[in-house]
Amino acid sequence: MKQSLFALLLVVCFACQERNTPSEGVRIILPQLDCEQLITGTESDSNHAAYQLLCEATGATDQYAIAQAVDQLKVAGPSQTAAAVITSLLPEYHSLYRGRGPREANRLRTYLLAALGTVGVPEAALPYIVAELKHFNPQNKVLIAAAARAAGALTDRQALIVPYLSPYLEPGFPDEEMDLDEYNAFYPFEHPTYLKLEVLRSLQQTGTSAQAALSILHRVKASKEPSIYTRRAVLAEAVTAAITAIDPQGEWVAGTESPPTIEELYFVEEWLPLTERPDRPLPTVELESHRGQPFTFNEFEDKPFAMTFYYSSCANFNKCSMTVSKFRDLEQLVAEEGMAEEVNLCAITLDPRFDLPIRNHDYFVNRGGELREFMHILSGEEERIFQLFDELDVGVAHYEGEVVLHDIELILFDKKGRMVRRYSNTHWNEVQLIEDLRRLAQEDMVSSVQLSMEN
Amino acid sequence: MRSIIIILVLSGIANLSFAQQTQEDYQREIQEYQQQRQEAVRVFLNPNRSVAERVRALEPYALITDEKLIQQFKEIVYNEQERERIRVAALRRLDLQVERDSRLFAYVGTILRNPETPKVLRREALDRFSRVSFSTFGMFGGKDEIISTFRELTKDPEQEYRLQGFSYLVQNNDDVAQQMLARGLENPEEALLPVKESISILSLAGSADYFPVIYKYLNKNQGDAVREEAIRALGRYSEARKDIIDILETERGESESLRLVAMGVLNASYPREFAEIVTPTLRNKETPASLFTYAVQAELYRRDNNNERSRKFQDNRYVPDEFDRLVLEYQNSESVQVSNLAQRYAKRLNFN
Repeated sequence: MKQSLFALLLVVCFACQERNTPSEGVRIILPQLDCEQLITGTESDSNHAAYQLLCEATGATDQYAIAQAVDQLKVAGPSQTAAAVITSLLPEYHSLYRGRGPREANRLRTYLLAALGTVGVPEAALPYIVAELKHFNPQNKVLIAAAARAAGALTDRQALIVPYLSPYLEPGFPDEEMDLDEYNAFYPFEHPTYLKLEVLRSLQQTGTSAQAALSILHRVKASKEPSIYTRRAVLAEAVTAAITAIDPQGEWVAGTESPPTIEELYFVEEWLPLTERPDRPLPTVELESHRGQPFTFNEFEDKPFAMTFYYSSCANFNKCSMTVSKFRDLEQLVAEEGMAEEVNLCAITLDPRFDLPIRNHDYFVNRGGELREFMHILSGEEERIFQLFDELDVGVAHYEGEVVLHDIELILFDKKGRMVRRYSNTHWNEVQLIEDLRRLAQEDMVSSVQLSMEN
Repeated sequence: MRSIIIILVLSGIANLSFAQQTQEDYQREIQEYQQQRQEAVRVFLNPNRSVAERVRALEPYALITDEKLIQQFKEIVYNEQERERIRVAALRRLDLQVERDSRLFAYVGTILRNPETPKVLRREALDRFSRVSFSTFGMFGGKDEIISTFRELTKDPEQEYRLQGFSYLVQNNDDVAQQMLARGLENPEEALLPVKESISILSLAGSADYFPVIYKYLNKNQGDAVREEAIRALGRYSEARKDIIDILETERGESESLRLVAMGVLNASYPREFAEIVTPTLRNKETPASLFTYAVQAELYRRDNNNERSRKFQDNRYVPDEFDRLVLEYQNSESVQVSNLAQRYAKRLNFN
């Protein structure tokens, strides 16, 4: 579904970006990359074997073989094909991550992201880079550093990334030595680096487009880290280099930097008109609601609904905990807007083994959710839930029932249960979402007038 | 009435004088303590006294708070000509300063990283450093220094230090340390820690990644200690479920302690199916009383809570299942321990 949707939108995506104004937020609609298609015609290329291995990689492919193929592409240097092939492996639902433990899957994804810093970054990688920087897990500094490295290699939209990079320079943000260039790393590292160093290099590469970071860079320069820090000298040098690259004339005065023109990126698919919505029935799986009752999507008949995903033991508070808080706000807004009778909201756990109905109930209530009639927190048998995720292309991978990787997603469905729009890799804007739900609630399925308007 | 007033006044005066006396007592006690501590410090700082005398004098006093003394104690720690036991005693009293003073913090890290440091001093440095790793300083400012130090310890010639290094790193989500341990389990010639310790630390990571490599040790003939660690680590691994259940079988002749570990892990990992899993074991009359007790206690605890009981009630009557009926059969067991427990089970769940 996701592939076809992206394919349909491929043609219109660039035009869409032109049309949007900053006040609406920038809508970046990106094509799904088809790996096989990308490497067609590269048979004579010395990297073809590596491309092929990466395109055919699944959860059963040896992790070291994948790393070796990536290394080969890195040695060959910048290449659009290599960058696109690596980017095609980034979605969390990619079969590459299935059947791998969370550590291995994360390590692979980190290595792929870091490699983009060498081979180049296609625009399609932007949502993944921003998602890792924005919804960071402080426990996973290596992944953040890899995203920062990739951000530095962007050739377009660099300025948009700067607000997501700068916070990591705050003196209080923890850092540690790491190695992004060696997949099978040992201590001491062969290519030691730091998260902050990667951020600084990225800002340096961004150059004059990173004006928004000057304030914090000067602050970091003025601050005195204790002399015990082994990273101190390296970072001090990198701070100076970044400042020089961003402000070569040395004209910056505190408080005069222009704020980023766009505050937020929305990775939101284009609204699918009535005639283009895939006429596919909603999954018939039987789930279990937070009330402990059996649930099927038939209960949503004739009402549009929004569906999101979370799990209560998610260690990244910038992801699931935030998702639930945002969903609580949405619940509140739906009630305030008088739409309680017109729409439904549902959140499905990504971890059905652990998130039983009572836990789902408590998790939402503890975060201020009121669990009104139109709110449904769903769990169920593992097999059924995983089947549902497959049908909906949900960005999640599991191993031994444990969530390995997942993105943030919200899917909108119309009254007939057809997919209309997907918010991926970002938390939604409630106001925009309420407008979307209202529009769907008012949709008259047989109204030719509306059909013609949408077309 | 007058006598009551007189009694009240007298008791008030008595209370007041008692309170005053208590306050004076406290003040005197504090002064005495300070004088004693001062005297102890004087002995400790006197180079003409023996090392044993100096160390013993300071023993009752855990911390030093006087700024001047703190400085003096730091100088003792930095003085490499000073005798090691004296340096250890000084360093121990500077517990709070290690996280506040970056020079002292760095120095403690340096002596910890150096395997040539005298043993007792290095051990003390490890204790101080481990404490700092849990403090605010360890959480934010100096965390990377702590991590670097513990990473160096993973290659230390002494196992105790390697163990500390890996434990800290694995608990702090260090991917490389986990990989090193997993590789050691795959290739014993590369192992930096013994198998039991490696499994025990890796299980702290709580990641399913290491299930397959630990699983290889579940039925390996490397002693019960290793197998016990493997069982504990594999509770959530579906592949290992049957192997762990099999360990419960009496016919296999596994040790009682190993069977108890297996039972504990099954109870924690499969609470809903636990009764069903252990029923065949309990049915066997040769099952040791310790296993019977564990299984019945665990299930009693579960069934005794209201939620669980409400599920079992039908028409206001508790419907016993196979596990219940089996436990009831043991009410007249020859073992007093078993029969008492079975009777208590019946009573608590209102069977009789």
